Amino acid sequence: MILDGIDFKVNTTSGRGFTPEELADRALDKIMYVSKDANPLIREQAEAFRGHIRQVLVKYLKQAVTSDRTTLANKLRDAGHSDLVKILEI
Amino acid sequence: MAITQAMCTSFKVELLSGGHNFNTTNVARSADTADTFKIALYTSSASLDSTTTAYSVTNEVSGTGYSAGGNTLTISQVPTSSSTTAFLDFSDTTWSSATITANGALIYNSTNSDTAVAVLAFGGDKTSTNGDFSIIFPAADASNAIIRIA
Repeated sequence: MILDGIDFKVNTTSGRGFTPEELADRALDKIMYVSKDANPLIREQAEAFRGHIRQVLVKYLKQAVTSDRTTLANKLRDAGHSDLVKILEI
Repeated sequence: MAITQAMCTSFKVELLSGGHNFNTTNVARSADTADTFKIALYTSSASLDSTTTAYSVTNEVSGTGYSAGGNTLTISQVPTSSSTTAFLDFSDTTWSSATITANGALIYNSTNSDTAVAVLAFGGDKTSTNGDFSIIFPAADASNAIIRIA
């Protein structure tokens, strides 16, 4: 029997891209899944671990954004567009 | 018109005929090369369901950040199995800086004459305006993966 995974999601944004928090939540769903039927004690530990992993993901995703903006700012300066660097809010 | 979630019946028949290759090893064909699978977005005017046999431009989404034919999918989990269920998975896909509205999507095999694989019904219009439009596939396991054979 061929089954189709119906639990896909469609996420959209308007006037912006996804935030580190939104992407971290998406990544977490790929990293771990806590069953609703899990033993309450195990579930509690798993949820705590999930929360810790989320904090780490958000931290480094934000760092990635900041680092990329540094790269972009340098490219803009090199291209003679220092005024545009202000838009990046560095 | 309506978009109804389905694994296309023609895909099931073509699987049994060796019409689709998601793997790069143990391939029955002469070359160990996976086929190219794509995902196209459709408006609410489209009619997509289990009887859909191939990609079509009719009622396909148009707008900033979207090109006809849609995005190429990356196979993030080549065919594998857990217990008695075989499954595979695709990486999430995103149309960036896009201004589009879609009601559903079609996964199709662009290597094999654009033959249909699966219809995804969004359950309503989804819109991005100068933003990102992402389809997030479920976890790659025997209980959730987007394509499973049990």
